[in-house]
Amino acid sequence: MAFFANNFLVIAEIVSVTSTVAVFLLGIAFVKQKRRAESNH
Amino acid sequence: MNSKVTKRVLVWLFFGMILTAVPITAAAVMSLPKNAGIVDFFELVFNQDLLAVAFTLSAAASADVIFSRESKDGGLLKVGMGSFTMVLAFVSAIGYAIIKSGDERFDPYQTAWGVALLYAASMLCSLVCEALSEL
Repeated sequence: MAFFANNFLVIAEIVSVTSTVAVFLLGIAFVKQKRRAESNH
Repeated sequence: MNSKVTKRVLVWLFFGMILTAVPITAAAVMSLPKNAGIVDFFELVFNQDLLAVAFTLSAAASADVIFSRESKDGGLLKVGMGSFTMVLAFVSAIGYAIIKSGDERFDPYQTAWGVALLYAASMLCSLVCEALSEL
């Protein structure tokens, strides 16, 4: 609890940046995979 | 661009804006008598209730993308996206609960930036999840 209160900004920065980058990268990979699958059909 | 995806993203943006307007309007109205009719921008951003909005948006979007049945391929990537968005939802919920409990002393500057960051990340991730749940 105290750790979270003292480091709230750091935790929020790490989680938000990591999640946003990961979601965008996974999204790009998903769209690429889908396009490849459609062109193969 | 796929019209279904565009429609979904626009509807989600509208939903997010309406949901965000609720705590911000309440905070603005409540700060009026204190500040002699002037709304303090910092007080609006320092609104912890935005964490509840962030939690709602990211949790709903992660469920949408994980359980979407639009396509059979790329299921693992969708689950990955949903999981990362779910992490955002968990941190927002824990932050909201701890800040609201008032047991710990939070630095207002840290809290304001943390809330803004988590809210922005939740909005972006939920938009991406919603768009890809239609593909």
